Amino acid sequence: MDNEFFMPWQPLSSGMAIQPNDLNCASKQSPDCFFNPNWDSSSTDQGGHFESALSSMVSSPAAAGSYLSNESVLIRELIGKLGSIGNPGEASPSPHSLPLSGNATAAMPYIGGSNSTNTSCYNTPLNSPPDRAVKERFSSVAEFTADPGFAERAARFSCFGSRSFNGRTSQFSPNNGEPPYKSNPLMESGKFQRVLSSPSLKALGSQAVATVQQNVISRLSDRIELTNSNEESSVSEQIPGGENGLKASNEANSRKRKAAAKGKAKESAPSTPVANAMKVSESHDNSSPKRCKPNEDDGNGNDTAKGEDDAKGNNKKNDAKPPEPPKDYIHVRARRGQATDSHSLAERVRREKISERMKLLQDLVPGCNKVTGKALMLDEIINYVQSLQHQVEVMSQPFVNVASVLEFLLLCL
Amino acid sequence: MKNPQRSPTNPGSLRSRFTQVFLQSLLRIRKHNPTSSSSSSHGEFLKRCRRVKVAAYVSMARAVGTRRAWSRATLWRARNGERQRNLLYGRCSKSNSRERSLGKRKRKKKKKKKRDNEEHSFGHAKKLQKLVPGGEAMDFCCLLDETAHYIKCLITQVKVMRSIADFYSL
Repeated sequence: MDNEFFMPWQPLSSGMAIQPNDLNCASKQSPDCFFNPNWDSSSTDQGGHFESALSSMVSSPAAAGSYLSNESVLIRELIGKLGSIGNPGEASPSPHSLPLSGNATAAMPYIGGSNSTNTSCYNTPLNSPPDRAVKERFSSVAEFTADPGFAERAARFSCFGSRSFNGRTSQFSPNNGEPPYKSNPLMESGKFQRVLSSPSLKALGSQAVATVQQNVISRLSDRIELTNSNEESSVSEQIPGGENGLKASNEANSRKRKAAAKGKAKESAPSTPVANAMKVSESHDNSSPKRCKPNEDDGNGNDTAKGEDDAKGNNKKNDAKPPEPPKDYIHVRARRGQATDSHSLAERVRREKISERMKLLQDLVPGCNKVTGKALMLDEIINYVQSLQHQVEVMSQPFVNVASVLEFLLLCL
Repeated sequence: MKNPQRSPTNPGSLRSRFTQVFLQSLLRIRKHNPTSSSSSSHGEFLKRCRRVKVAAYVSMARAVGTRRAWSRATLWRARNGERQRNLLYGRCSKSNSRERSLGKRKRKKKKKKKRDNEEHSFGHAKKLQKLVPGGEAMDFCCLLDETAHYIKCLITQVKVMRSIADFYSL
């Protein structure tokens, strides 16, 4: 099955010839953009180059004409273009995989018809795994994306794709940086949460279409997970490099909207730090369709049943694009089966903030891991602060009889 | 002293900044009290200890800057204490009037916040509020945030002081 799909894509390698110069420049300037698992703030500059290059690249096919009819043609063109970004160093190894993921993402803006500028570079890193097995998988995915029903599905996903997508995210807070990521290479939800919650990505801005693209990535990664965990980890590490379809409100909402699917037992699956790849992927595959559906229902139910605030919040989530730091207020969605009035929502937001801070403190204060509960934790923290202050007092005694050696020290600094 | 470009929580820069400020303040203490080495009364010793301790906290607050509420509170407390001492001894400094107005504004803000936030804070948090400088004018959420940063800086402070003392086997 896998080899068959290589045939139709071979001619697409000509699409690779379409390589605008600025793209190449951007890719040369920012190779680390894609292969850096730790997306630090320095990469935002590179991302900026990249974003402008991408937008120029994407807008050119947009001018080409109607999209729904010439979808496949456009897709192939964009594949070639997008693919070249992800492989600054290795143009040859994956000519086949290039078209496939680029296909999925490039098609989205035209299918959805919502935005011209595109920040879909996060798909290109998916091209880089040189493994043939991965490429084969990509080919199967491309086949899937090319089918006409996908357009409809994609459009649907754009509406509440973010919800279903984020519903799968796990509990990683953006503050706890690398360790949660690296310890969970197998968890797709973990990967996406990692991608989503990276604060530096906020600067790159996002479009509503990003939600659709995220869904495509999720599907791609579903396929990947099924077979090879190593490739998965390499892909996942590269995803953050390319991912810049993140909204600030999405980040704030992702943490809250993870609760949208929290009521389901599936959430327990992502929380296991080390799991069998197959098991996790299977459970994810089983759970992802289920999550999508309940989230649909959830969304519909919430849209109708909830008050204005949340409906407005929902609309805002899909339409608004705040690339800058979070606004004054945060849009929250009520969990399934929970109270929906504004007071309880605010309470929940507050409680989540507090629990987040307590987790940070737990890391700081030694010996707090075994302690559970706010009261005991606070006691531990108080004891620790008191002991530190006492230590300072004790340490200040030797300095009473200061010697001129201090002047020498100061000169050394 | 302050480096606005760098994040104050970056341990490398914070440590170096704190070391610099602390040593400078120690030298200043030494200059102001030239007879410290000769006198050996217990009261004097305690007084000097307290001065060094205050210098350590103030220099840490200066190294952090005014970004954090606790550092602002520490600096304000130090300035306020100095002003109170000056008033007590009848010394009038030029900056007194300015500081007095500044202090009044801050005190009013603090009192108002205290009244607003008391209902929100838990019982345990009151103890923590007393420990962390400036904690009384904060809600629980901010208090936890400030506590985390404060703990980080305290750890740095203790490490630096210990390393200086060890280096010169004081």
